[in-house]
Amino acid sequence: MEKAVRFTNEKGNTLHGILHLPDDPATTRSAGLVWLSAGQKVRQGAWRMNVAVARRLAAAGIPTLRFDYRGIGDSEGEGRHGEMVMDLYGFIQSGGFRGDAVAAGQFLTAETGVKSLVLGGLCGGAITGLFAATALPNVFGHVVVDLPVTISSSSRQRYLEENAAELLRSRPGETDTVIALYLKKLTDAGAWRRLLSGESDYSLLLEAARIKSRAQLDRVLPHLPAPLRALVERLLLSVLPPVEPEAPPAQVDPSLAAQMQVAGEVKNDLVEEVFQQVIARGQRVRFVNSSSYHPTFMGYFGNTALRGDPARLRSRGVELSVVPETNHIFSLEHSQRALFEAVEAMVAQAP
Amino acid sequence: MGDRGEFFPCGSRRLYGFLHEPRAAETPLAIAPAVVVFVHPFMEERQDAHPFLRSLATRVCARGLWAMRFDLHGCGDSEGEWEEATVESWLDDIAAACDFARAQSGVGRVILCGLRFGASLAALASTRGEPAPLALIQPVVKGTTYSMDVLRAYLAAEMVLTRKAGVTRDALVERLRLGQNVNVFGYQLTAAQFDGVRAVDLTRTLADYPARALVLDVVKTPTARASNELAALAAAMGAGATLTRAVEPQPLYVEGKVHLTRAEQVELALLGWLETLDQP
Repeated sequence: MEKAVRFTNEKGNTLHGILHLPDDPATTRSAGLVWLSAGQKVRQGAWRMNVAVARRLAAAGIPTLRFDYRGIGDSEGEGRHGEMVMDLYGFIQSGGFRGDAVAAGQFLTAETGVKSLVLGGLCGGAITGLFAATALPNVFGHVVVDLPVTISSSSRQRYLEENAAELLRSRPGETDTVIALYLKKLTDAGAWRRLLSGESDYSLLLEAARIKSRAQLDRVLPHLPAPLRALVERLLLSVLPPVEPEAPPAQVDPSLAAQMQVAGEVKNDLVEEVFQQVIARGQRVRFVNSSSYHPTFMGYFGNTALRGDPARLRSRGVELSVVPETNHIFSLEHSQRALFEAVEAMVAQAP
Repeated sequence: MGDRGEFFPCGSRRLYGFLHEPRAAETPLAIAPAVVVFVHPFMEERQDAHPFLRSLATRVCARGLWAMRFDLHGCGDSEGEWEEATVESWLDDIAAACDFARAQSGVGRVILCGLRFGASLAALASTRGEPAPLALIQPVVKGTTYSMDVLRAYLAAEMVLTRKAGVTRDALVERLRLGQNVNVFGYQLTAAQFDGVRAVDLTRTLADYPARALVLDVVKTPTARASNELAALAAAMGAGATLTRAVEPQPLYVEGKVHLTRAEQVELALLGWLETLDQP
């Protein structure tokens, strides 16, 4: 049973959402879920992830609310029209939609009579839930999916774009992807048009080709006589400079944290602060990471905030799982299943 | 209902709609009362187009018309799962949305407005019954081309994840032929949907269209080349069709660098066309 609902945030904006209720009221449990949207996306989420989560949970007896933050989707409020998307991300990563999430938790509690709440979401939804938790007295736990641990800004984005080729040298593993994506453009008429009109910037492709060429050269060089090897090295040094091997994905090892500090990334100190507040209140936290995002999570947060004995962390209600071969939106079938299971497992523990 | 979301029936399922009541306008559009029904684009494009369609609906009702947005079966907040839907079922949805909009507004005249594949669906729906005035914003004209673009998106996503080129588009088509779905950014594209999309050919379907129509090309810069495909479509539709273009800094259906919630030139083009609807 799904019904359109609206409620008011602390600024007086009317927020629109969908409340998912069990079809049979007799099966309704005493815990509810607020599933929060990621960033500036509307309340259905990528591939209707939020709809799928809410339907599964409602079928399991858990009233679930998903809604649009103010100014987004159908909800009232300042739309932040014209703002750089990266700055909007930064706003969310600083708790910008905390009040809306608090209002949602209060609404779900009042509307359905649930005793405890689980808050969860992907990316911007995950962090918004952590921020909201300290203002809601009945939060049992969190499902935190690909928690953003750096702070976004348009200036940082500009830096990354303007130095993309240089930064690729610190992540040579990405080279094949870059080349493959450019090769796909060979069949794209629009890409050819942009190339011929001078709109395209192919410096990233050039750098990728240089890295690949250097890798080939490194395979041949050891087989050359030493004098010839030295000559080739000298001649090609400026054209094909050596590439340092890429750092392995970070494990729970603080020594690797420094290696994850890719130029331009800025740690969001608020994340650790709010996480400590949440666990100090006895709320449980289940982190779920995509394999593609896990190294960043560990480098900027996990290696410090989750250090120590895993058993002790578990005893405090903190768990971390990594879903292999998974992108940030968990769009593949196996990652969708893992996401659903994580949410269901957390809610199953709630009183 | 009035400026709030509501579920409404469509056969055995419910669809989510959002009806915008007309405002007391200082400069109302000089046309007979009407309700503009908006049809959203396909898959993830629906998400990114949402602010623009909401803004268009708001602007229309600010000029004295009714407006309605709704989600197709298996899309947005509507009931059902994406993979259950077909092009045919989506056309049923549009008919149901029009009926609901008429009943709620008390206004008989419907104007259909769609974006991208939503425009294509609006066009197909308008040929089922009495032809309605049609506003087509960047419509998908040829389904054969568009269906390949959709599969291309799958391949790009796979490459980013696996760092290598995996299957080819031909292999994906073969997979669909064998009755297997293809996961495109989490949406399970079915063979029936794929075939339904491929069958779209608006130039043929809308030839000599008997009602008024707007074909709106959206370009990034004033000097951008006009779309030959949209020009051919407008020409095929006949004298009732108006081809125009709007310059917008970012596409209306993919996330850009700037968070835009309205498309002013598109709004002006749509309102300008609506103003002319009752003129001879």
